[in-house]
Amino acid sequence: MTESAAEPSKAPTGDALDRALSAEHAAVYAYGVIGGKTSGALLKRATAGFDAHRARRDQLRTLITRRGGTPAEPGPTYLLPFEVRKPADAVRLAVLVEQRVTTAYLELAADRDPALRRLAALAAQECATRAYGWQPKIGDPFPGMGRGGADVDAAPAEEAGSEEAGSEGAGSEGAGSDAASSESAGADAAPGQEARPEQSAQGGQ
Amino acid sequence: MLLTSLITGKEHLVSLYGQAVAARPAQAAALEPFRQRHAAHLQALRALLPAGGGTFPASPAPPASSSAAPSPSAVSAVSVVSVETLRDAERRAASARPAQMATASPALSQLLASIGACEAVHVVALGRVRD
Repeated sequence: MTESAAEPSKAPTGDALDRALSAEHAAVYAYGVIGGKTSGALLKRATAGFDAHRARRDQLRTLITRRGGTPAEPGPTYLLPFEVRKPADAVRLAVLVEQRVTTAYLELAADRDPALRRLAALAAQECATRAYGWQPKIGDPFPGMGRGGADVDAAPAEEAGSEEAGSEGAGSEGAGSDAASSESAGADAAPGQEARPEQSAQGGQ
Repeated sequence: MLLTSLITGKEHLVSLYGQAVAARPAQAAALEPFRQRHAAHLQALRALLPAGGGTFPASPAPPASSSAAPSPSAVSAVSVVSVETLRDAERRAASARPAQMATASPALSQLLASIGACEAVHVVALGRVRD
């Protein structure tokens, strides 16, 4: 406590850990939706993301339990920021989810426990890298900080788009057939839906 | 102490990119945004220096300065910074962040986590820049 006289450390260990777990719960849920609306290479990417977030979720649960806390259970459902109907929506959601989880880990990165900082640093790097995998474009030099360019436009992952030919039809409702046209996502994705992260109110600039 | 060495490391990265941008016209447009993001990191790190600390002159490093120590792989002064060199530097920078955070202030730790995430993305993104 004494070494951080300049920093009012308002968040004790538990809070940031709990929030990271909540973010991972939401990510696991979202990736379930993402997987349901994608096929082929995108589905593969979605499955990898799902597995990664599930593993982090379990790790955080264990950490909380070990510290004598009670890990929160996931909500029965989550309100998505926009309707996910097509692969392009799924890509946009995946980018958003990764940005939000990155932010949660940045909070954990300020924790006093060096072990949690380390976990947070590694997890944030993974999330940011996954976000880039979904949408290969870098706007913000400070991933997760919520300054400026948290731009979630729906420019699809180009390699994923081109590999999309062999669609397995895993998504129901003919979602697979939309994959090739995901370039147009920006224009026709979920008209009228709120695509911004709800915490965007924090963005000062 | 830690902060100044972090700043020095970042200056080196900015300088590496400056050299690459200057020496490789074909890649300059692709690499310049990377250099700018590192410059933004550098600015954020310098902003954490104690105000009025006369011991730390915050002189902006000239982008294409060749005075900075060349990367270990650079054998001669003529050798041009390759994209692969940049990639290695990014990888090393990103993987050093977790350890650097252990003793940092909460604010610096958080900043380093974000910078490390950007560097990790750079490693992947540089894979799309032809050498």
